[in-house]
Parts: sequence; structure tokens; C-alpha cells
Amino acid sequence: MGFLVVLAQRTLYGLLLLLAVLVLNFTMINLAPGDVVDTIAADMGGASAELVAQIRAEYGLDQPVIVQLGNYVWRVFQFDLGQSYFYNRPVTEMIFERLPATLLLVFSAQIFALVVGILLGVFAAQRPNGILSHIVTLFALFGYAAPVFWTGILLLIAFSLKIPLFPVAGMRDVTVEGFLPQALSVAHHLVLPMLTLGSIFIALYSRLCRASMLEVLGSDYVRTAKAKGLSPRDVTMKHALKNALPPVVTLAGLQFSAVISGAVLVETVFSWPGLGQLALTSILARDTPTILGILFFSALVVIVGNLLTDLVLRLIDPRVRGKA
Amino acid sequence: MSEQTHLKARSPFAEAFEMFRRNHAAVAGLVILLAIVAVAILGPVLYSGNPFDMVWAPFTPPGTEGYLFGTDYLGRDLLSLLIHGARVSLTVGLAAAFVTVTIGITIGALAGFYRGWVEEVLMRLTEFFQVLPTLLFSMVIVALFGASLLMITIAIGLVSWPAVARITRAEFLRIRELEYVTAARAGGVRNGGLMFRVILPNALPPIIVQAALMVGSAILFEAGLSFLGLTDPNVASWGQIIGSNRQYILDASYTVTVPGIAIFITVLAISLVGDGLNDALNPKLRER
Amino acid sequence: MSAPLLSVENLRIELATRGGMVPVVDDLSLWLNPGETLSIVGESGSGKSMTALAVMGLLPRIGRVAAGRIMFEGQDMTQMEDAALRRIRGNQIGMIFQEPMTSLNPVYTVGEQIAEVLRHHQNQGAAQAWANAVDLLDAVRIPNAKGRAGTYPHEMSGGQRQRVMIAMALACRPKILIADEPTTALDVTVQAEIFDLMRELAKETKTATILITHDMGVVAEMADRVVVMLKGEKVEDGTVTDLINRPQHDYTKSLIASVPHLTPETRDESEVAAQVDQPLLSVRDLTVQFPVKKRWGKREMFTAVNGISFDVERGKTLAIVGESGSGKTTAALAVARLVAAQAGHVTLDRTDMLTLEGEALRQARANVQVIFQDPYSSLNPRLRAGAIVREPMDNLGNLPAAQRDARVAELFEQVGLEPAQMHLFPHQFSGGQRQRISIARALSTNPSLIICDEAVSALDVIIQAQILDLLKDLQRDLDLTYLFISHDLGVVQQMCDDVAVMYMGDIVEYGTRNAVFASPQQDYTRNLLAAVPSVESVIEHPAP
Repeated sequence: MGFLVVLAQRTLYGLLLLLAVLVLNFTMINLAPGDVVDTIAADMGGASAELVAQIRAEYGLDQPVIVQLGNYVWRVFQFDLGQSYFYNRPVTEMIFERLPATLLLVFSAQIFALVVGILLGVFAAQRPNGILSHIVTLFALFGYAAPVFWTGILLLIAFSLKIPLFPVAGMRDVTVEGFLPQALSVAHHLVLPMLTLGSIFIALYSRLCRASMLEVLGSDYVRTAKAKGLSPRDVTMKHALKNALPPVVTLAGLQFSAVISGAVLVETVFSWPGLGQLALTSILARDTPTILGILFFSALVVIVGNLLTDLVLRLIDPRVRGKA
Repeated sequence: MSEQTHLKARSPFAEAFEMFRRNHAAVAGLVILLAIVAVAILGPVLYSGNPFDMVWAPFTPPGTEGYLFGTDYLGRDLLSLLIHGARVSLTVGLAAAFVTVTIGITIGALAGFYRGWVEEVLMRLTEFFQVLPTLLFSMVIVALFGASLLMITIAIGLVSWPAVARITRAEFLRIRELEYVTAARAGGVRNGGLMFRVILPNALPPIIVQAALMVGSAILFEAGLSFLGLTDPNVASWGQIIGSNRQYILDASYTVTVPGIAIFITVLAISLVGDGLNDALNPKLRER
Repeated sequence: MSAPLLSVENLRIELATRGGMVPVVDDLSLWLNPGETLSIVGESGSGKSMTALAVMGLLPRIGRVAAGRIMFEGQDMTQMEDAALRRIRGNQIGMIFQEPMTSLNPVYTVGEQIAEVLRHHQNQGAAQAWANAVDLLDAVRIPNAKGRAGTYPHEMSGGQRQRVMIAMALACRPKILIADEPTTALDVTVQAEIFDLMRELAKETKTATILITHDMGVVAEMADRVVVMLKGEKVEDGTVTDLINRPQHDYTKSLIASVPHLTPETRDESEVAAQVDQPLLSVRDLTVQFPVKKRWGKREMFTAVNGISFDVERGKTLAIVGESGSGKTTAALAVARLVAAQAGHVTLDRTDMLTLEGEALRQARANVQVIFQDPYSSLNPRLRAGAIVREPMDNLGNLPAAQRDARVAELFEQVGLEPAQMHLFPHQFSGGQRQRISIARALSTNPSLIICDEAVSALDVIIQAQILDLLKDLQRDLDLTYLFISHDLGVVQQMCDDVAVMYMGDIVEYGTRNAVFASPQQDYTRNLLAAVPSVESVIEHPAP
């Protein structure tokens, strides 16, 4: 019963957070040295005072700050994030073009990292001093310490250039036709970026899952399960794992913003046509509306990711279900 | 009881130090880290010269006489770039971790100690900062306010503190319910004293571990930003070397591999120290 | 008599520690006959739980059976394959544990957890196993078993969870039930109910029981035979009647002596009549409420203490007894202004405690100090013992700084510690010693009232007796006044002059010790007193 109520509550809260992001965006535009008009004027190679005033009025910059904020929020809720100075196109349009690529990369890397991380963690916890356990610990250390763009470049050198198993760049082969061949092509292109981005998070999740499993395996209820005469497999997979998962899922939820950050770097390395690439070009071009639009949408992705995490946690742990 | 009279006092920190010393991996990490710090401090003095000077033909492979790691696409001495980059990486890493921990402890301590609306407001603020994708947000800050090292440090600190705040708050929530805190209150200790002299010292272990790891992630963060070209173009930086040589990986993969290894080893050493601290300070591993 | 069902022969269990393998059980032999109840009694660290875990083949990773045999139905369980052991565990031998709050898996319903055993050992189908699980819940007297089978452990009380554990352990009708301190974490009235249930079920199913406990009263009420363990070794064994009436070993004698005799002793009546002074502490209509968060962020008030009144005479002890959740600790901490009260008056030494604010409140704290329950969390681990005792003097009172260390040394001697131990850290002391440091700290500001909040509950009985003696000596020497909070009626009877019995926020009975223990007026008090296990039932009274 409470499920829909909770969903509604969390969604409302997410919207409030988004609103806060908008206010932050707006504040940053206003705090940053130089504004739209200066940029446009600079682009035109200088402008007269009259023209500047005219542009100001056009952008509503002559109105009080609070009105400007109101206008800004209102426009965003109509999916209008303004016009890119650099590409001279509506920002929303460009973001919608590139969002799917980023979503695909972010979610596939997250899920891949979770599945592999949990499996490694569970097996490592079986023998805390075994070889696999040490390998997981080592892998976790290495995966965390290696800069993600560097890992990407190394994989690129190894598996695209030296041994040409995977494509060097892009998201699909434009020459193939038909849904299935295209999907396969995308999957083929996705492998290296996903592995690269996933590697950091496999490291994080396997490490936490191992620790969480070890703690749960020492708990009273696992002793109870053993006292029932259950097989080690049942004890681990049925009784321990489900209790060890919540911390890992919680961590994964908190990592969404880090995954998106990593995606920016990975997209740059693999020329993956997502938001990250767009972000970099627009930052280098000082294309403020586009940058802030991307920040807004990636915050939205994080919020949705957190919402999903919340729902998964509720599914796993009955004790969370009771709470509003 | 009388045999105990002659016992030497052993503070919890002394015991932690003992545990740390016995952890070979952590000690190895510390030694490597100290070596890197020594290079960062002394290197630029001993191996002087502007790292941006073109000294030899571009893409001179490593091992060429006088140039241990060879030269990059502009013919700059890679070793010199690395040594100067060490200083930047470590400085930014430490400074950003300091900013992170300062903000995080303040926010977490206030939220965990006062509870009520203070906690509510501060935790909402923390959640808000966690929603912003860290790298993108700092890219925006750097793009809008300029790519100086100071701005990069502030940007990293500004996006990283929520983790510290959460840990600090959780520890404060746990410790404030313990009986020795109530006992201290009954003994007339004021709120400020409770927060900073009674609770904070006991909350420090996980925060110290987190701070150590923060140095590592700040170094990675700085490397990422400079890889993207969002850094002060006038200072050498590990990430920047990789970013600027990226197009030439087929001709000279060492220009990417070598600085990557520098970052990797530094962060690895910091993680080992962090893990060692965790094991040494984690009360669960010790009998009560 | 037929052959024993289970026999443990010369068992030696070792644990791996930093200093090598250390024996925790050595040369232990015991046997269990069909249908009987054998009790293993001893304090924490005596090896009694390790023995039980060894029988189940559930020793922790760092432990191992180093020598001896555990024979069950002609087979040595220490030599068995794991698969064979698993067919016995939960099937032939069931076990229940001390902590009902943590022994059930929080993410599965209780019905599922019981049904699982039946599916596993008896190959029952899902529907049949579930139906049987419901029947079992009914058998352990969970009301509305059919509905409750679908609930999760966190939705049940501690007593109910322990019933679920029993249902689970008995699901396959095992030949042996091992119960490791099954009621230690529960209130005394709940303990009585659980024991009633265990007795009844054991009789019905003819299950033999090994009951592990630290309480000789429990032994007397539950067991047929008993084995007393101390530091890993058996000190003596025998039938319960023999052992309790004719204990050989000093340790056994002290265990028996620690069982409360809740029988009235005649006291000098004049003592009671001598109330002339104004009481030191006077509490009127004290009410404490906590906000509880409800759905939609609504807050509701939970009333923990509901308008209670009591007095404590100078130099006397008032005990507040009650079970968990009765509000006794909250009431005491509200008196000390460590928990905020919503209404009422607290007058201590002519000071109105509840209206004090700011600096005046802080200074008033010197007059009321607290000794806490948990010797492990009541001392700041980062301070030296001397600094802990000195802390209140540094903040309160007017003793010049130069004299404080001398005062600390004096306090250490008063509580039976050596001044040379001042420089040690809390983790270097034993539980009993830590409680002495706590007492020294409470004395440091010369308070007129000391609140003892379950001050001896976490200690083993022998240490408990020493600390109680210390508290009594200090009261006599320093004319101290105690507000003594406890759930343990035996301890209360030893310590107090007056008693207040609390139940769900109210004082249900209040009077002199004699009056309350000898002729309780309320049903609740009578039940509480009756629930305390005693050795009365097996004491042989000489023929008149």
C-alpha cells in the first residue's frame, strides 16, 4: 500500500532537488565574470552601448534578478534551456540527441559493475584468506588507483590498435542497416567503454561486497541457518547474500554522479557521442547555456538513479519498507 | 590487580600505530609515498630547468642517453615533466583533501550533534551536492571562474565533501548516544567541549581513513581535469601530459603509459596507507 | 537405564589467538540421557557456549576440537563428514540462541524460516511446509499464527522471536534441543513464559534438552542434572537436588548464593518510622515524552514517563524496578536533567532542578552524578582513567587545580583501585574495574545524589556481588543517597530501602522494601516476583 505514496514522496523530493539545481545554475551564471551579452558582443567584434542595451532587453537581463530567476525556471519547465551560442541550436534539442548514448553507457557500466562486483565479493568472502580473496583485494586496489582515462587508452591500444577486436571510436557502424545488426554494432562499440568505466566501480563494489558478506557471515542469523542444517550454498546464497546486498546497493546509488563523471572521460577517450563530449566542447567554447543544460540533465539522471536505488532497497529489505 | 600497577599505559593511538607497523603492505605504501613526496619537494631543485622547454627531437624513445623517459610530441623531457607534475598532483591532492575534510567535518558534526532542524537542513544540503555529477560540476566551476590551481582545488573540495560529512554525522549519531558522552555532560562539560573534545576524537578514525583516500581521489580528479585540458596551461601536470599526447599513442605509447603509471603508483600507495589505517583504527578488529 | 543419547568424552576445544592455540574447554566429559534436561552452568568465558557449538559442529573459524569425542547414536560427530553433520543439525539436534533479536534472518518472514527446515529435512512441499509452520507457531503460542506467519522478525517482540526460534528448532522433532542462554536477553516475566513453554514441549515431544545458563535459579527450576564449568573445565556435576543442597566446590557455592531469595526478612520497624527530615529528592508528577516520527512527517508524542511521584531520604536508597520499556531509566535521567522532562517538579536539596537553565544548570550537575550500565561504553576510550575521574572536577566545583590529582588518587583508593593505575587507559581494565572507575568519577564532585542506572547488570554474578558491596560500604562511609535503577529483583532486594515498581511509564507500586517484597499489593508486582527463578523448589528442608 505505502509503495505508491513513497514513490510519490521521493519523486516530489527529486523535483525539489532539481529546482535547487536550477537555482544553483542561475546563481553561477550571474556570479561568473562576463555574461551572455559580453560574449555575443565579443563575437560580433564589439558592439555599441545601444546595441548592448538592446540585447540585454532581449535576454530579459534588465529585469530584477528574482524575475529573471522566475523566468529561467519557467522556461526550463517548458523544456527550454535556451540557445547554444556555439552551435546556435536549442540546447534541449542537442541534449536529447546525445542523452541516449550517455544513458546506455552509464547504466550498462553500472549494472555490469554491480553484477561482477557482487559475484567477486561473494566468492572472495567464502575464503577470507584464499587466493581469490587476495586477487579481489588487489584488483580493487588497482581498479581504484588507475585513472579511468588511462585505463581506457591502454585498452584502446591493446584491443583496438594492436589486436583489432573492437572499434576505435564512435557508437555504431553507419553502414549497417536493420534493427538487429545496428543493435549488435552498438553492443560491439560499447564493450570497451563499458569495461573501462565499469572497472573503477567493480573495484568499489567487490570490495564492499566482500566486507559486507564477511560481516553477515559472522552474524547470528547465519549461525541459525547453519544450525538448521542447510548446505553452505543455501546459507551463502539465500541467507547471507540478501542481507549483504543493501550496503552495496546503497553505495551504487551514491556512485551515480561518479559514474556520470567517469563517463565524461570515457566518452572523450572513445569518442562516444554522449553528453560528456558535448560538455567538453561547450566548456572549451564557453557555451554557458549548453554547459548548464548538461549539468541540469545529468543531475536529473542522478536523481532518477537514486530513486531506482531506493526502490531496489525496498524490494530487498523489509525493514526499509515500513519507513516513509 | 597489583601486577597491573606496573602495566605501561597504552593509548588507543599507540596500539593503532603498532597495528599499522605490522601491516607490510601499508608500510610499503607509506615508503613509496614518502619517496614520491621527496621527489616532489627536491626534484625540481635537483632537476632544474623549465619542463616546457623543447630539449630534443620529439618522440625520442625512453632510454635515450640523458632522457630516461624520452621526450613527448613537442620534444619536452618527459622525466622533467613528471617531476614537476608530482609537485602539482600532491599539492592539489593534499589541499583539496584538506578543504574536503574541513567542510565535511563541520557540516557532519553540526548535523550529528544538534539533530533536529539543523540536521535536516544540513543533510538536505549534502544530498543536493551529491546529486551534482562531481566532474561535470567542477568542470563548470573551472570553466566559469578560470582554470587556476586554486580554483581547481576549491572545485574538487566543493564536490567531494559530502562523503566526509555523511561519515562524520553517522559517527556523531552513534557516539553521542554512548554512555561516556552522557557521563561527560553530567560532569559539566559544555556543548562545544562535548562536540570537539569528547565526540570528535572518538569519531576520527573513519574520518582519517576517508581523508587519506580523499587525497588519492583528489589526485585522480585533478588528473581527469587536466587530461581534458581544464588546467592551468603554465604548470606541468600528469593528466595534462596524457591528454596532450593522446593523439600519438600509436607512435609513442610511452608518453601515455609513463605518466599514467606515476598517477597509478601514487594513488595505489595512498590507498595502501588508507587500508592500513583502516585496519589499525577499526575497533572491530580489536578485542574490546 | 539405557545408553546415553549424547556423550561428550574428554573434549578439548582450542581457539587460535595471536599467542597460538589457547584451550577454552579442556577435558570435559558429560552425557545426556533421553528425555532429560541437562544444564551447563558457568559465567561468561567458562566455555559453556563453545561446548554447545562444538556439539553442533558450528565452532567459529578460529576454533577446533583438539581432542576428545562427541558421541551421538554411536557415531563420533567430530569425525563426521560435513554432509552427514548437516543431516543431524536442525533435524536430530535443534538449537536456540541467546539473542532472539539477531538470530532470525531479518529479510525473510518467520513462516518461511520455519517452513525452510521442513522442506530441507523432510522434503515437504511448499504448501505442506507452510501449513506445518503455521501449526508450529500455534504450538509455541503465537496468537493468530496463520496471520503472523507472514510477518517479518522486526515486527515481533523479543519474546515472540524466541518462540519462533523454538518452533524452528523443534520443527523436525529433534532428539536433542540445545538452548544457549535462551532467556538472558529477555525480561523476567517473558523468561518465565518461555521456560513454561519449553518444559511443556519437551515433555510432549520427549526431547532431551541441554540448557546453558549462568543462573542457578534457572537450573533449579528447569534441569534434572547439572554440570558446573569454570574457565573451560568442569568443577563438579550431579543431580540438581544433590548439587544445590550439597555443593562441594566454592565456586558452586557462590553461584548458589547469588540467586535471590525473595523472601521477606523482618526488619527493625523503627527504621521505617524515622522519617522526620525533608527528603533529599522529591519528585512530583514527572512526565517525559518523546516525539515519534510518523508517516508524512507527522510527529506524535510517546509518553515514556507518565506523571510519577516519589521521594528519596538522605542516606537511603530508592530502587526503581521495571522491565525494559517501563520508563525507569528515562525517569532517572530526567531527574538529573540528562533527558528533558515535559512536566512536573524535581526538588533536589531544595533546588528546583527542572527550572534551571544555562550555567546554573551546569553547576547544579555537580550535585547529581550517574553510574552507567555498560562498563565498556561508559568510559571515554581516549582518556586515561585518572583524567576520566578528574573531568567533572575540572568542569564543576571549586577544588583548586593543584589538589585535584590528590583527590583522584584518594578516590581510586576509596573504590578499591590503586592510584598507580591512574595513567592507564580504560581498555586495560576488566569490566569490574571499569565499573569502579565509573563509581570514582561519580563521587568526584561530592554529589548528594547518585543515580545507579543498571550499574551491575552487565557484570558476572561474582563481580556483581563485589561491586554491590562497594556501593553499600561507600553509602555507609560517605552518607550517600542512591537512586538505584534495575530490572533485577535480586539485586534490588539486596540494595534498597524503598522500592518503586514501574510499568509502562507509571509507578504501579511504591513502598518500603519489606512491604513490596513481602506483601505486594498489585498483580503486576506479584507476577514479577513469582517470575524470578529461585532455588526454593529443590532445597531440602530438614524434617521438623
